[in-house]
Order: sequence, then structure tokens, then C-alpha cells
Amino acid sequence: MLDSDDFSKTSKSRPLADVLHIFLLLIIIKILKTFGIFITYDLLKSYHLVLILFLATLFTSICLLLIQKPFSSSFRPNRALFYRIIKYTICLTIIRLLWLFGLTLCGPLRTILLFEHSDIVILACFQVLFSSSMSGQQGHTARIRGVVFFALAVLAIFAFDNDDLRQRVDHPEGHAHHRFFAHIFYRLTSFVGVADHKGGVILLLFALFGRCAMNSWSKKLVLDIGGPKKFYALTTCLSTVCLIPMSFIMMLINNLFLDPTESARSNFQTTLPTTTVTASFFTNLTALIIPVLIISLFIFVLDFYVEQIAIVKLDRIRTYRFGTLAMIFASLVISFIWVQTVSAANSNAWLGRTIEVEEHVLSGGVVFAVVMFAFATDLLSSPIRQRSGAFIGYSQEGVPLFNLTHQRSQSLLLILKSSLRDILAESDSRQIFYFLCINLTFTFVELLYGAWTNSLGLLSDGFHMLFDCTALVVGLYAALMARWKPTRVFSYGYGRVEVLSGFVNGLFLVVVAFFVFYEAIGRLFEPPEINTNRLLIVSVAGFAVNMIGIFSFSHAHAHAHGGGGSCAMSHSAPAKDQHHGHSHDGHDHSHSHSHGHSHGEHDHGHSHGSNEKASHHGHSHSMRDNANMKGVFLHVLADTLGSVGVIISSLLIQFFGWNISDPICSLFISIMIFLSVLPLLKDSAMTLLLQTPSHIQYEILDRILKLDQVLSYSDEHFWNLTSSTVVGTIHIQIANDGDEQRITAQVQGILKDAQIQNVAVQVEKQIFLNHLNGLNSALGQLASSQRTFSHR
Amino acid sequence: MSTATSVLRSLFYLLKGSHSRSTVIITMGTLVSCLIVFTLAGQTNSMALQAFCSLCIFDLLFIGTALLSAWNIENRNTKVRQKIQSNNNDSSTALFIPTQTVATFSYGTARFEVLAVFTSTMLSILGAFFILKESIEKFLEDEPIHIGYLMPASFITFFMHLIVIYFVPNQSFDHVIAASSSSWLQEHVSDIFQNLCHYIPGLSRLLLPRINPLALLCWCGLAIIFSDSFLLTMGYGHFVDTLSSLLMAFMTFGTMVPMAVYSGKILLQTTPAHMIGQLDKCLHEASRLDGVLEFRHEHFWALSFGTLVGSLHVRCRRDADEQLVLAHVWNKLANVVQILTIHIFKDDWLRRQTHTFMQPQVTHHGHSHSPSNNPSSASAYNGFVVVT
Repeated sequence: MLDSDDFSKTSKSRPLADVLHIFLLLIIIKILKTFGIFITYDLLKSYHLVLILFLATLFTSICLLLIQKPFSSSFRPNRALFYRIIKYTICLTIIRLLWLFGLTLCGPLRTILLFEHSDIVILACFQVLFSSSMSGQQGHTARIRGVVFFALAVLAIFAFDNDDLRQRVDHPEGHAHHRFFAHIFYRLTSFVGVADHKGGVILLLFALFGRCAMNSWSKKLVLDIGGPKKFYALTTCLSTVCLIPMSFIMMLINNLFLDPTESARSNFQTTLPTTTVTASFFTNLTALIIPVLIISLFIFVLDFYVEQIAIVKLDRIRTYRFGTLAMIFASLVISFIWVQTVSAANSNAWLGRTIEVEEHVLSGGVVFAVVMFAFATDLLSSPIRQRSGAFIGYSQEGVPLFNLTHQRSQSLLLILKSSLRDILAESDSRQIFYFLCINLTFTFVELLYGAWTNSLGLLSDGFHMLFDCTALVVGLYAALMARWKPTRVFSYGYGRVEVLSGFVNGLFLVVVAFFVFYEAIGRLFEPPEINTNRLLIVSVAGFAVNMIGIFSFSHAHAHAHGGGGSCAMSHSAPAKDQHHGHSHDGHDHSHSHSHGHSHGEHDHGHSHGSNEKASHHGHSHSMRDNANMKGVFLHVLADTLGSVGVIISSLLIQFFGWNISDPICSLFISIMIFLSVLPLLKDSAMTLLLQTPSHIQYEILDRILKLDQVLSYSDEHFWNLTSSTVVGTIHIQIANDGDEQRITAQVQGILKDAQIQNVAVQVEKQIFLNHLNGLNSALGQLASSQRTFSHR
Repeated sequence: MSTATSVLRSLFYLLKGSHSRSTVIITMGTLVSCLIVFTLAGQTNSMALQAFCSLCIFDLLFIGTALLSAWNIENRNTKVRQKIQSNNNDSSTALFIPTQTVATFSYGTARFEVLAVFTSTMLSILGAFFILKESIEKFLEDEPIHIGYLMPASFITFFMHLIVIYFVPNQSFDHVIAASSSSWLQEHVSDIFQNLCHYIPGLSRLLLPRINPLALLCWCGLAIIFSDSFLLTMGYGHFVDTLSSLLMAFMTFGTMVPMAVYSGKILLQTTPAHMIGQLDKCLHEASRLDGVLEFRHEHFWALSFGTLVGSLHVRCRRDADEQLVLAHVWNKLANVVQILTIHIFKDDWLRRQTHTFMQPQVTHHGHSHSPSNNPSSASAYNGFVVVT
């Protein structure tokens, strides 16, 4: 067997020889259980599932009563405990009914594949999906892979398992489905739009998750009752009691509703074992009772007891692992045999019956799913290697030290609350956030309406809007991040994040422009027919939303300049003019004009040169000229342009029938987006590349040189940290009798005047180099200062 | 503007040079295959193919980065040569009169490479994102897919990509691939291979070394396209195509994100993670030097791949010799930090000056750091001079 060598490898606690018999027993019982499920499926073709379940649980409870004696004198549950048992029993019964119903819909192989997973596997799936605390641990990647395999397997069964035979049936309620219950389910699934078999898959997954949840919640209950065996016996008996009224009701309903169909059917089907319970119950008694006995023995009794033994002897994880694997492979083999025998039997005995259609054949999807499930079970149930501390370092004795304190994860609500407070604290992020909310609302209305009216154009436009929202999210996050405190790694603070986010947003727009261009070129050669009737309304609505965004963002800009309350420096009108002259985006201005600035601003042009004449004033422009906000603004602008383009082109198509206008409009829009984003890209790239700001003049450095006893300077580096702060470092060489502190203070004063914060000044004398020579130290970039002294 | 023209000029220089002829040929090949492949992708209407062919565009960016880094190396060499020449020529004339203009990039052009890597990885991430959205839209539109061109186009992309990756020398990308953390694709593949090597130990030499993530992306993409075209011929419909394009997009994400994070962190002026330990050791040693009281404003950040820049404020004792402290601190740090600025300051240095006028013996003992030989006159403690 495939598993046995694997098993011998993992069994460290007990040698293989000790537990081999248990192991083999487990495998055999699991194969028998698989067999039982196949028999159940055959029975379900002819009898109602409630009836089958009722009979099976009845036999089971008789067996268990004899073995376990749950109602012995020692058992006196109080009221609360009794209610809990009742609740559990009802859940159990519902889940079993769901399981059987799924079995009728999906066939035994798929049911086993989907339902027979241990709780451990499912819990591991959820743990991987919903907890981030495990990340970084050894074996986590294997778990993730397991979850992906699991998902792929479910997907394969759900989507790629086209047993074509089934889908050809126009009304898939075959002979076994002629029930009220099944009919309702059929109507439901056809309303949602999934096929019958897929509905069964969903049902089985529900049942599986329900079972897991129930088992994990009832752990305490099991202990209260006194052991799993007693608990099982008790709940089985109670569920039999539960099923009595249900099965009677079912019998009545079947008699009332299905007689006409039955009579119609009996016209052409005579050899069929008739399903009306009252008619055939006594005639088919032996044909029913023996399989039900087998079922109850295999599925409900033997399986349970052997599993209990195996859990004790082997351990829990191994039991579940090998049980599931055995069942998966056994079901594959059995179904292979089963399909062949049944089709042979069909051709012999039941000629012309619908049973051929009903049979679930093997398909590539199912085989793939079997392999995937086997992998997933193996990966997910392998014990995770616990490494519960982070390695810090070594102690003095050389023993490794670990940090055992875990990062406490905050609750989601708290995080949301605090981040919302952070967002609303400052105007930039507030603006973006409000606009994001408006945009998202619009998107969801559009998506919902599109789904409701089944309009593809609306849906895809909604996705497009959603896509655009990501740029806003990036901007919002950057605006939040920029306010974080400096850390050890981010020693200058997070201010640069905004520049980087502006750059990324610019790249985003470049990509958008490129793809629009590419598509437009494709359409230029063969312009498609476009249905314009709803397009116009949507694009006008999108345009309106985007106009709100443009107005609010430009409003914010104007306020920031006019208000000046947040600015450290209060420059009046000329500074403002400077700002607008320096800004690169023409559209930006066209809106801020309306807020009462003078109209001469455009004369400044878009050149950098204009602000070089006044270095002090030139700085003030960057107080709020934030690359991040600019990126977001440009994005909104590009969207607006897109809406305008759609409006124009759809109008042209509607009134003149020029289909070619659409790609031409797209071409123009893409070029405009690209051109408008270039200045932003260039600006932010220059900041990222540490370009020396243009207002740093030689005049400043001259002033340093003219100081007393300063010989020269070297390594002068000045750069924009963010759009508003300039930092710098400089080395200064002085004469031997100069005073370092005085010169440092003077240089700092000069640089402060030039709006450079955070300066580091290194003052060097000839002695310094002598010391370095003495220390035999690396000189680094000091070659130039060495030259200074050597040439004197 | 001047940078743009200089970039262009250096590109032309590279095109003329004999050593970069292979690169030029590969560039041409990539351009041609890009055109072919994208026309084919447009014809097939398959998003998975389009996602795979976006690797071609990444190849163009990759070559661009390679050229830029080659240009950068060239630049550095010529600059050094010029410096030496200028030294020889006008050593007699006055050297340090600031006649030259302020260099626009005071740290040189090394950072261009970082930006190029960041841009190319970021563009492919955003492209993958766009493809994600497009494929969902295509799924809704439900147009027929022509399978005929699927395999040829993907083979062209595959070979072009492998040629570009293995035959274009690209220092900056090599560095980033080596230094950044592994992508999820790499991690999973290495995990699988490790498990495989448990069973077949002989393969360990072949499988265990770290795989180039870009090549891995290419192989996985080819496999996906294979299965996609197989399933399409089996008649499984659009769903397969959408799914495989989503998978491709996620793989591209996974491959590019670590590199983008690494280069983005450099652009954000942060300390590289692998340098922190070494730096801390040096700083710790430096803080125990005689005369050093504390460090403030420690900024250490990576200028480009492998160059560290630092600036540091050192508060020193009032009677310490600044140049000596500077030399010692420099000595400790200069091995790790290539470009260093140390700012030395003292608490109220103005008062000390008045003090020295009254008490000349303090400056008299200027070089002796401990005032123990003259304890009666002054004892310095934590920057305060106690006059007895």
C-alpha cells in the first residue's frame, strides 16, 4: 500500500509492528464504509432518503443500545444538559439529511471526496486562511500549498467535472427526484443558475463545514455526557426519535403528491422497482432491509468503533489522515468498478431506463480532484513544526536565546476605529477618504444594478471603477503612513512614502495609458459595434462623481495655499504665485483659479527657471505641493477624461453612426493621460534620486567660504527629503587655529537661512587627517579634503 | 533635460561599442518578438497569453536597466579619469574657488539603477494588476478564443525571455535578485524540491540551489499556458482561460513584489536589514570611545546597491579634542559606511570659551583627556566643568 511506508516513517511514538493490526483494521473498515456509501447511493435511487436514514439510524441505535446501554441507571441528565443534547441531535440529523441529499445529487465518489475530510484538515484550512500569526513559521508554506490544493480540488469538482451525460437531461429530476423536497431544491438551484450536481457540491460543503463546527463546539458536551461512545449512542437514539415524525410526514406527502406522476410513469416502466413506499414496502422488504442493515453496520457502527480504537492506539492525526486517504483511493477504485458493472447491468436488465443518465461517470476533473485531495490531506494533516519563539541572539554561555512573547493581534474593530481616526485627522487623507467612499458607493450601485439587469457593460464598467479605486487606496495609505514616527530603519521618518506613492500612481497611469492605447490601436482597424443606450447615462454619472473629486481636491489645494495656517512660513501673494507658476498640471490651476487667485499665473509658465530668481520664495511652493495628492488628483482627472471621451464618442456614434470615433477618442485620451502624468513622474523621480534642489545656490556656499578661517568645503549634499523638507550634509575644512564649534554654528545659521533643516556639518583640520593616518583608517571620500590641506 | 540627452548619448555610445553588440542584437530581437507576440495575442483573444506575453515588455525594461547600469559603470570610470586628469592639469592654479556649478546629483548617478529596477518591477506589477481586471471583464464579455496561435506565441516569449535573462549582463538586477527575499513561488518550489530530495538525494545538487525567480516565472507561465491550451482544446471554455490568466498575474505579483520592496526601501532612504547588525556593532564600539557622550540623529541609508551613506551627530565632552574624537569615530565607522559625515557638537561651547579665558590651564591640558593630572583646577563631568 502506498501509505504504509510513509506511515512507518512518521511513526516514532509506536513501532509499526505494535499497531499494524489496528492500522490494517482501520483501512479495511474505511474501505467497507466506502462500499456502504455506494450501496446507499443505489438504495437512494429507489427509496426516499428520510426513510433510509430513519431505518439506518434505527438499526444503529438498536445495536448501540445493546452494546453501550446509554440509558442505564447511572445516567440522569439535568435539564440544561438535556437541551444541549437535543440541540446537538437536531443539528446532527439535519447534517446527515444534507449529506444524503448531496449523495443523491452528486453520486458516491464525489460525496466521499467532499465530505469525508477530517475536522483537522478543515480547521487547518481555516487557520491558514484567517490567522496571520502563523506566518513565518516553519511549515507554513506547506500548509498554504495544502489549502490551495484543497481549493483546486473543490473547484475541479465544481467546475471542471462535466459528466456530460448528466447535463443533457433537460429536467434532471430523474426517477429518484420526484419529490416535493427535491423539486424545491431543483427550482432553487436553477434560479441561482448552477446545475443540479453543482448544487449538490455546495450542499455537501455546507454539510462538511457544519459538521466541523458542530464537532468542535460539542467537545465539552461529550465530556459532560461521559465519553464519546456513550455520547454517540445517545445521540443516535435521539436522532432516530427525531426522524420518526419526519419520515411519517414524508410518506404522507409522497402519497398525496406523487401518485399522478407515478401512474404516468408506470405506463412505460414496469420492471422498475416502484418507489411509492406504501405500495412496495412489503414486497421489497428483503431488498430494502438487508442493504439497510449493511449500511448501518458499515457506515454507522463499525466505522465509529474502529475509529475510536484507532484514535487511542495510533494517534488522532494519523488516524484521520490514513482514514481519509484510504477512503479517497478506495472510492476511486470502487467507483471505477461500479460504473462498469452498473453499465453492464443496465444494458442487460434495465434497457431504456434513465439510470444510464443518472450514473455519474468518472471524468478528468474527478481524477484530478482525487489527486489534489490526497495531497491536501497529506499536507494539512502533517503536524506543524512548532517554533514558538523568535531567535534573538546568544547568551554569554553561547546558548541560543528565544523571544517567547507573541505579537498580540488586535481586534479588527479596534484597528478600523483607530485608522479611521487617523484618516480623519488631516485634510489630505480626509479628502481622499471621502472621495473614495463616494466612488465605492457609486461602484457598488453600478455593480448591483448591472447584476440585476444582467448588463455586461455596466458590470465591466463597475470593475473598472473598482480598479481605479485602488489608486485612491494607495494614496490614502501613503498619506496615513507619512505621519508615522521615524524608526530605526526609517531614520528620516516616513515622509518619503508620499513621494514614492506619487511615483507609483504615476506609473499606474502610464500603464493605464498604455493599455488604452493598445486596445484603441486594435479597435482602430476593426471598430466594433457599440450599444450606446445605457452607456451614456453611466458615463455621465461617472463624470459627475469624478467632477466632485476634482472640485474637492482642487479646493483642498486652494485652501492649503490661501489658508497658510498650517504653513510654518507665511508668504503672501508672491509666494502663492510662485507656487502656481511652478506647478505642472494645467488642469489643476484651472480650478484653483476659481478660488480667487490672480489670473496672471500662467505667465510664469511651467518652467523651473522662473523660481530661481528668488530662492527663498521658491521654497514655499513645496509646503503642500505633495506628490501623493498630485498623483491621486491626476488619477481622478484621467478618469474624468475617460468619461468625457465616452460621452463624446457615444454621442457621435448615436447621432452620426461614426463607430471609429470611439478608438480615436481613446487614443487622444491615452496620449493626454500620458502627457499629464510626465511632470509628476519627473518630479517625484528627481526627489527619489536625491537631486539637489534648484534653490540651493552658490551664493550660500560662497557665504560659507567667506567665513573666518574656512579654507574650503567638500561633499556638499543637499536633497529634498519630502516635498517640504530639505536636508543636507557638508564637510568643511578650516585652519588649524580655528574654533570648530563657532564655525559649525555659523554654517548651521547660514543653512537654516536657506531653509535647510537637519544639517550635519563635519569640520576638519589638518590634525584630523594626521590622526587618521596614525590610526591607519580608511579615508572614504576624504580624498578631496586631503588635497585641500596638502595644497596649502 | 541635460540628463535626458546624456542618457541618450550614452545609449548611442553603447550601441556603437563592440562589447555591447550582443545586447543590441538581443534588444532588436526582443522588440520584434514583442510586436509579433502582441499581435498574436490580440488575435487569439486569450487573456492568459496576454499575461504571459507581458513578460516580453518586462524584458524590454530589463534590457533598459542593464544598459543603464552599464552606462553607470562607464560613467564612474570616466569620472575618475577626469578627476585625475584635472588634478594633473591645474594643480598649480587655485583649486577650490567654487567656479563649477552645483552638481544636480551630488551623490552621482548610482541611484539611477535603483530607480530603474523599481520602475521596471513596479510597471510589471501594475501590468499584472491591469491584466487581472481585464481578464475579469473578458470573462464577463465571453468572446470566443482561437487556440491556433497560443503555442507559437508563448514559445517565442519563452525563448526570448530566457535569452534576455541569461545573456544580457545586468548587475543591478543580479544584485536585487540575490539580495531580496524569496518570492512565494520560489519558496514553494524550493519546499517541493526539498521534499523531493528527501526521497531522491541524488537530485540535491541540481534542485536545491536558489532558482532565478524570473526564469522560474517563465517556466511556470509556460506550464500554465500548456495546460490552458490543452483544456481549451478539450472544450472547457473561457473559465479556464480566465483562471490561468489570474494565476499568471498572481505569479507575476509574487515574483516582482520582493524586488520592488527591496529597491523601494532603498529609494525611501532606509537602512538595509542586513547592515543593521554590523552597524550596531560599530556604533556601540564608537560610543565607548573616550570623549564621546552620545549619538544623535543617526541616519544610515543605502544610496544604491551596496553603498551606505551616513550622517551622525556626536555630542562630546567639553574638554575633548574634537579632531581626535572625529578621527576615532570616523575610524570606527568608515569601514562600513562609505560616505560619512560626522557632526561634533558640545553643550554650551560659548561658555567654555569664556571659561578658557579665565582658566587657561584647561586648554593647556587640551590633549590629555582625563583631567586627573590636575584635579585641583578642574574636573569635567558630563559636560559640566566644576571649578574648584
